[in-house]
Amino acid sequence: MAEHSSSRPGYQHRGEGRLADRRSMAGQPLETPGDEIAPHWRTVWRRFRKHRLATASLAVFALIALCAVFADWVAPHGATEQHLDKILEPPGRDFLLGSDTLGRDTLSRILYGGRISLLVGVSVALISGVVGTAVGLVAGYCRGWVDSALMRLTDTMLALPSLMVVIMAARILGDSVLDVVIVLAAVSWMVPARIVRAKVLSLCENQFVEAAVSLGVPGRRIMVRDLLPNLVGEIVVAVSLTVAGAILAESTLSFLGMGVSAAHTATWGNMLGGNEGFMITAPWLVWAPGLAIVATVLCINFIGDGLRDALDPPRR
Amino acid sequence: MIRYAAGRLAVTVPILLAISFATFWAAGEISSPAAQLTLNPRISPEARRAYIESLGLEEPFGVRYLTWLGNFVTGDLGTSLVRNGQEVWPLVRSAMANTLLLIVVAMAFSLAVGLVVGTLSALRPGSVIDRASTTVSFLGISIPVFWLGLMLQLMFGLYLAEWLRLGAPLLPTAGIYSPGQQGFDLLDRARHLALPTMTLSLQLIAAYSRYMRSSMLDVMGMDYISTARAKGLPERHVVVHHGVRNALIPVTTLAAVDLGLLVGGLIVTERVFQYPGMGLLFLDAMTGGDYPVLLATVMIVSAAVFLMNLLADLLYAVLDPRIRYG
Repeated sequence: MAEHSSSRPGYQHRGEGRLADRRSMAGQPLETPGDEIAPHWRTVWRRFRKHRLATASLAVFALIALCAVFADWVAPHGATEQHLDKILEPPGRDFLLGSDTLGRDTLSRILYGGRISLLVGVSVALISGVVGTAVGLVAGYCRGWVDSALMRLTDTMLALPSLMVVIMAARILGDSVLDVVIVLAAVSWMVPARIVRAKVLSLCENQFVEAAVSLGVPGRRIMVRDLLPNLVGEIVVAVSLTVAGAILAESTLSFLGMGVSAAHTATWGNMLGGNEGFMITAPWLVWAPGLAIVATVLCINFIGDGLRDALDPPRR
Repeated sequence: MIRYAAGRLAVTVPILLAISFATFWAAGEISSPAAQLTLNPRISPEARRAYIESLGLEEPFGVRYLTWLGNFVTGDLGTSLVRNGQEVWPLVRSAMANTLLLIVVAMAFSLAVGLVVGTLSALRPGSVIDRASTTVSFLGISIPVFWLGLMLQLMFGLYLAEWLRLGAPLLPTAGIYSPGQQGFDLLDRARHLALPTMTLSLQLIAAYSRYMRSSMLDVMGMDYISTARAKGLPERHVVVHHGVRNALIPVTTLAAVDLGLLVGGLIVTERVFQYPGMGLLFLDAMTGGDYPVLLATVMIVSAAVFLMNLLADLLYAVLDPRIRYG
């Protein structure tokens, strides 16, 4: 990141970077009208490609996602296919990443499990993105008691120990994929909401909003037509980072045995949770799913960082 | 300032009450002692009824909640249902002590490393240390805490001892004291803390160094830094007294916002290393259906995190005189 940011043309605009950083860090409203322009996607893509790490990550992530989606064709074995004569086989010709206690192929389970892990990550990010955007938009545009009430709720939710809440909620709801998605989305919408609200507060200082208000355009229309398009950059970055967080949270939950149950399907998390006891005799059972998680989440975080650089005013 | 603090504290009480109500309801949904008794065919109906009565489970929900709340506030946490009727408070107290020790050690370690690394990378953006710290912090936020714990267990409990041809594992991988240990032994305790601390610290170091870097970059671009330099102050003085001191202000709040993250990390770390703290007590109570212990742990942890967040907000206002909350 650092190597390209120092050579970027906009590097000397310190003021912009400062404001961008402050806003994203403290979630405080940013009261500077005038510098908001909806991103032009071709420009964004050009700037994104300059971020070599992010571009490489996008390629790797696409590969991982494709392998997971087309697991039926790519995977050498089925996810539940058992070879009881080849239990706990170390990585070799039959099983590229070894086999588990039921003689199932680790690589195939990672590919099939990836479907669920990615599905959970993306769904949680989309749902929490929509909810967070709605909350932030309404709070920032309506101000007054609506804003106070919504932000109190947001701050309170943020001030709770989320993993504890998630574990309890998952225990009450159940262990299906949908349950886990609902639980994780319920604790992930607050950060997008705060980011969107801060941006809306600053957008409302602009003359185009003032003009729309004085023309008598209804509030709902201003929010959807005038404000929302200008929020796309912030939302895309927040959502991409939520995908990473949700994949981590799902794996943690499943590792603790409270996430997607291994009885339904393999996920990276429940593969690790179920095989922890074989860490010494069959270390590949712990190495492989863990590396899948780290590689995927790392890629998504790099992509998110690249997107932020491409969409936001230059940071250092 | 005092009015602001009073206002925030006034809102805190109803919020804490709401949290306690939600916790009470959730704990009842998760583990109802009556349901467990009903499932056990060897318990006679009379014995079951007597037990349910002794726990006061026949009362309506509202009454049970208020009774529990009254007891909780006055310091009566009840007795464990699983651990042979052991009182909850001593269990929670020793778990809290262990967890606080782990938090303090991990926080001190990560703050020391994170702040120094963040400052150094902000002073030389693009340098080797900056790139290295960026890479490490991306890893820090991308590695699941539990997996890091497992890998450290493998590394220090098994591989290193094999490679270095040591007879015993380099560091203990579970618990807080060696088997057969008599009395308190500082070195033994420290060795048991080493791996949990490392596990917990990576994501904290990642977060702190990023915050510090970004905050420090802001501050070093301010006019008063140029003024300090123009006055001819030595660079070290400018960086430490004018730079770092101001850069720390936003970092305080962010450090507190991450308390939720810290608790999440703690639950997982304690579980991986079987470290007898609040997180492990919570998980055990959850899986064992130990309703009073579950209530106590969740209530204490959420109240603590919530109050720490409040404290951080107030601290922020005290540290930065420019901030005045309306």
